Amino acid sequence: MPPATAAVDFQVEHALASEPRAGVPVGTLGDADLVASALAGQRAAEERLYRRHAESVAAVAVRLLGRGAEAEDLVQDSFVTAFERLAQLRDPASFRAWVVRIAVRHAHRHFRRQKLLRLLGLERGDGDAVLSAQAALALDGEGRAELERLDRALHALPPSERIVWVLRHVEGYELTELAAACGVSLATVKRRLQRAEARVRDHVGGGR
Amino acid sequence: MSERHPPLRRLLRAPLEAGDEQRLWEGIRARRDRPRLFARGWITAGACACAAVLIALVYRADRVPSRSAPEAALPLRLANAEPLARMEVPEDAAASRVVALSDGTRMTLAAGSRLLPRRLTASLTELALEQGRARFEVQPQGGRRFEVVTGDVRVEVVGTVFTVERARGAARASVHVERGRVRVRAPHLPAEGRLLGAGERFELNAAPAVQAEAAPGEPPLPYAADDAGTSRDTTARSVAPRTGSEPAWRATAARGDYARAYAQLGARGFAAAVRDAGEPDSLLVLSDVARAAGRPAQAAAALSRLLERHPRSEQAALAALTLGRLQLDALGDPRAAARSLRRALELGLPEALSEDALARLVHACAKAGDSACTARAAQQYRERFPRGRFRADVDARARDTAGPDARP
Repeated sequence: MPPATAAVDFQVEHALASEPRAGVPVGTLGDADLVASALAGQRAAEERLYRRHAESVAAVAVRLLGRGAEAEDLVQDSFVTAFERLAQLRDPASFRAWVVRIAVRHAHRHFRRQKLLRLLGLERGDGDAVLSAQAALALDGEGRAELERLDRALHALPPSERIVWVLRHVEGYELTELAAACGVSLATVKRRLQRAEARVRDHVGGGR
Repeated sequence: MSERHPPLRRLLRAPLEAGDEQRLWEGIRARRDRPRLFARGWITAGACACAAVLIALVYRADRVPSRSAPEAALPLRLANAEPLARMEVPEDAAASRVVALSDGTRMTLAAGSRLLPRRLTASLTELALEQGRARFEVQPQGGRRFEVVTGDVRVEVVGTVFTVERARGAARASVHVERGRVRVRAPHLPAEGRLLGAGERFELNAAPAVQAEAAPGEPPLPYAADDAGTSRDTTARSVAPRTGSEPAWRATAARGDYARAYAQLGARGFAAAVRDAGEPDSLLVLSDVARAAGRPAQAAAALSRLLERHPRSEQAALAALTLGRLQLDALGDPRAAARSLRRALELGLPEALSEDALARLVHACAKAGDSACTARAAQQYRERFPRGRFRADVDARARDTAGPDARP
C-alpha cells in the first residue's frame, strides 16, 4: 500500500474541488490516488470513489435483486464494507473489481437469507420478476414477455449460477471479470456459466 | 460455450435513476459518520445489541403514543404546520422541489409537476397529480390512508416509496414502487386493482384528470364521504354528483383552493360558518380558508372558537399553534402569541411541530421583551433539540434579550 502523502492529498483536494460532484467520470485521478487519500481520512475521496463506481455496484444489486430497498441496502452495504476494510485492498488501482466482489458476496448472503426465510415460511418469494420489472419503457410486449420467461428461468437457478449468468448476459462481463467478481477461478466460472446457460436454454425453450 | 450477444442491459432501464446516486451516498455517509463505540468483541457486541433492544423498547413505550397519536389524529400538513395547498414546479425549474409533511412524509416533485390536495382528513390524505412526476416517501400512517390520484387512476399506499408519473395531457400514467407495496386502481382494472411490490413498475391508461375536465369557474367536483366502508369504485368516487351534505366551500378547501373557498363563503357566510361549525375539524379548515384569503383576524376567531368549544379535542394543539403564529406574525400580539404557543406545547404537538412551536415561543417572548420567558423557552428548546434547525436563531434571541453578558 503506497503511503498517502501530503502531495497526493493536495492533488486530490484540488481535483475534487474543481470537479463536478455527481456522475461525471474523473480523468485526472486514478483509483489508487483516491484510495490512498481515503485511507488518509479524506471523506471527499471516498465520495469520489463511490460516485465513480456506484453504477457498477448498483448494476450488480439491481440486476440480481430488482429495484427496491434490498438492492439499495446492498449498494450501501457494499460501499460501507469497502471503505471500512479499505486497508485490506492489496491493489488500490483495482478498487472497482474489489467493491463489485463485495457486492456479489452480499448478494450471495442475501440469497442465503432468502432461502432460509422461505424454508421458515417467512418469505413469500414474490420477488422473482426482477428483469421484467426493469424493462425499458420503449420495450414492446414481446420483449417484456421474453424478460418474464428469463426471470422464471433465472429464478430456478442456484444463486451462484444465476449471478454469473446475469453478470455475463445482462451486464456483459468478460470471463476474467466474472472470475474476479465471484472470487473463483476461471475454470469454475466457465463451469457455472455453462450449467446456467444450459438450464436457461432448457427453461426458456421448454416454457414457450 | 457462452456465445456472445449484446448484453441485455440495452433492454433495461439504468440501474440508478435520477436522485438515487445522491440519496444512496447520503445513507453511506450517515453510516460512515456514525461513531463506532466498540471495534471488536462478540460479547460486547451482544451486550450492546441487548441494551439497544431494551433502550428501543423503552423509547418506543415512552415516545410512540405521544408522538403518533396527535399526528395520526390530524389531517396532514406541511412540516412547518402550514396547510397543504396546490404545489406546482415550473417547467423550467432547475431542480426538483422537496415538500416535507408534518408526519415525516417527503414528496419530491420534478420540474413541470402539479400536485393538488384533494381530500385531507384525519383518516385520509388524497393528492391529485395533474401532470409531471412525483416521488413519495410515505411514513407508515397510524390508520390514515395515503392515496394519489392521477386521472382515473388511484394509487393506495401504506408506508412505502413510490413514484407516479404522467406527462402533461398524456393518456398514460406510470407507477413505480421502490419500497413497500401499493395498490393501483382504475376503472379498466379488476375490482381489487393491481398490487405492486418493491421494484415493480406499472404503466396504464389514465383518463384525463378530473381537475382538467372542470370548466373554469365551474363549482368544484365533490368527493364521496370519507368512510372506509364506502365503495372502492374509484370512478364513482371521483365523479359522483354532489350529495348536498357537504358545503361547496368545504369541498373547495379540501382541494387546497382556500382563496376560492373564502370567496364562496363571503365575510358574513364565514362568520356564520364559524358560529355554526359543530366539528373542530371544520373550524380548523375555516381558519386555513381565512388565512389564505389574507384575513388573519377572522382566522384567529375561528381558532379561538375551536379552543373555546373543543379544548380537549385532538385538533386543539394544532389550533393553538396556528393561533400563536398568527398572533405573532400577522396580528402583532407577541404576549398572546406566547400564551397560545405555550398552550399548544402543553396540549402535546407532534415532534416536528414542537420544535417549530418552541422556537416561535422564544421569538414571541423576546418580541414581548420578557427576558425570563425567553431564557426559559430557549433552555427548553436546547434541551429538547440540541441540534435543532433553529438553534442558532434561538441562541441569538436569548442572547439579545438577556443582554451582552448572557451566555447561550
